[in-house]
Amino acid sequence: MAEPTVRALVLADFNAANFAAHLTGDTAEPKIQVTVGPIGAVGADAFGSGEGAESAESPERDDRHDVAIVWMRAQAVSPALAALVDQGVAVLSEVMGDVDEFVARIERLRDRCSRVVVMTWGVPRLSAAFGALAMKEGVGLANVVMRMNLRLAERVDDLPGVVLLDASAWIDAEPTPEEAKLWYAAKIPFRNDVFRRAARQVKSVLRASRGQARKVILLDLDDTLWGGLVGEVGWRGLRLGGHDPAGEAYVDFQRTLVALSHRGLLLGVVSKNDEAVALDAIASHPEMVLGVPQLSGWRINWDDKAANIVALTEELNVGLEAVVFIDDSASERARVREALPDVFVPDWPSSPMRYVDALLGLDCFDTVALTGEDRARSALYAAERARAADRGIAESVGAWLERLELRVEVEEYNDRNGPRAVQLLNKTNQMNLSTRRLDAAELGGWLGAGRRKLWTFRVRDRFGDAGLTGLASLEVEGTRAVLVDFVLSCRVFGRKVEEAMLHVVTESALESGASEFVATLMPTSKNAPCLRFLERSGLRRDEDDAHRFRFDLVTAYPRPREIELLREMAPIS
Amino acid sequence: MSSVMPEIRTQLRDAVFAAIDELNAQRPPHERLPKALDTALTGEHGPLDSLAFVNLIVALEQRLDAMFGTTMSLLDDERLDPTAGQFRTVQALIDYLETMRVPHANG
Repeated sequence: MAEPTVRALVLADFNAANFAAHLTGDTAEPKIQVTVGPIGAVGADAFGSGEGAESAESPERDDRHDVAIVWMRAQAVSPALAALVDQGVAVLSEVMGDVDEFVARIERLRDRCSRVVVMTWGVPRLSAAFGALAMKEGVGLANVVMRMNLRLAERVDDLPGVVLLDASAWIDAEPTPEEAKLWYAAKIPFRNDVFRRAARQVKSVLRASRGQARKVILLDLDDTLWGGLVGEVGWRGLRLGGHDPAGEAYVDFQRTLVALSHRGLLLGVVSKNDEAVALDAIASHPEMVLGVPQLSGWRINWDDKAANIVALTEELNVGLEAVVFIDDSASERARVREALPDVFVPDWPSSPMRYVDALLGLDCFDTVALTGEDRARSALYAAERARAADRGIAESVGAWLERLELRVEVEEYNDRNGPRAVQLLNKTNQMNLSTRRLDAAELGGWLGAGRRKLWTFRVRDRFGDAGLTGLASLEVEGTRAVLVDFVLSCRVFGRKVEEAMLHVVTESALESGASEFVATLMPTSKNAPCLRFLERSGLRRDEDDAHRFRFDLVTAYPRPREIELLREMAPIS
Repeated sequence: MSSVMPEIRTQLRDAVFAAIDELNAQRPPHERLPKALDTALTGEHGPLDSLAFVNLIVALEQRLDAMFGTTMSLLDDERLDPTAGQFRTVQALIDYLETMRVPHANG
């Protein structure tokens, strides 16, 4: 199903028609419909004076746009910076004051239009006139603009709904990013290649904010992670590191993969090899950057790679639409593309010296917030492998659950757990009652209206901390408590955490005076696991609606005895 | 007319088509220009507005610079008039470029 078109308001201090054209014309999802605002307007004034416009300080939301994209040049934001150019001296405190004022306008804009994407400032071309003084403190234009960017990053860091994009990534990628003729003839400051790159990243961010970024990279081994066939030359004969351009390139490729894993991406291996030989190479080669601890899983055998990818994604509990498969072999790529169209299989360069560029150019891994769970995700999967091995030796599931020593910590939604809760809400598909997608500002707005509460659930056991993996929200209407969100990461399915969550929300509903508890599943193509849980939960199914379940609040839903609950909760007021 | 002229005409045509490619990348599918000699560009019923015209000419200058290694300044001409005959069609534009004595590799 095609994604709904995103309605974007572009605000710039230059002619943004070319940028708007690239946002509209880029074929990747989501489709964007662009309105270009008045030149130079940021803040409530950006909404113009036409029909539906509000007064300058009106807090009312703008329902005509889903996102505002702000691309202002430094000299347009800061009159004090302009003084540096005109008079040769900048008062740094005044420049920073201009940045703060700009952030205040961004904040007002965010209040009107819940998501705002802001571009950092490139160093103006005029900086070349400063020569060796360009980076001198208080004098150099480049120095001051860099400080402005740092100030901007600090100020917007804790603003929910605001994403800051590093424009230098697109501007520096072009040998001549600025086109003087476009500027003088049409007030367009950059070449179209810059706008094309910018549009691609904006789309990547929009996908990420809706939980549609790819989460898993599955890799071939021979001539992909290292040079040569390990089964033939042994690990000592591989091209990896050393005084060898290709060997160095493979190491850099691995290093880039590991850097991506620190952002929460899972790495896995799908390779046609003897498993023991390949794992020995991974563990033994002194130049390997990517080790077993960084791998969330692997399928190393002589079977069909498409079948192996399916098996591995099932083990990792991720959908095929979350997977990128990288293989140097064109025939293997074609096979996987044909068999698994949901898997993204990029074309891959023949030279390993192009691998890093190819990886960084994929534009599908963006994330708008980095949580502790993201940083520790590889370790979480390593713990899961140990857990699965333990389950194999337990005499029964019940006995295994007892051995896990499960502990669930319940917290109300707050500033600390908010980023991860929003991420979970937007990424989770299978155990998700309503599959509603909200960003932080939208969720905060929802919680602020009516008798509503949202709790987060952090799951630990003796193998490790699975992190914040569940959330549930409740709305109380008179004597009826409605379960609105019920979300649990597939990583902790089937360990009675679901039952513990029901216990917590029904107990809270009881305390708030409700006598009836209702949960209505909004069916999607992916949330059948949630329906199956409700069917076996003991909740009563409605006769006239197969997706609605009820529970009489005489007592709370029973707490699973295998789970220790730690709570920090207040009644719903 | 020297023997290299047909080659130059081909190069000029390729440069114009490459500029059209770049322009088309910014246009919705139904507004994209066909790469053909009789494609209309400007004039009363021409498809290009002033901004699209500037984009086309700047892209064309960049292609010509890369192709011939010498700066071609179409946009700098004070008399530049998008509605003038030399910009009405792709063929007219190529003819105009030829009259500008485009330098070429063969001298």
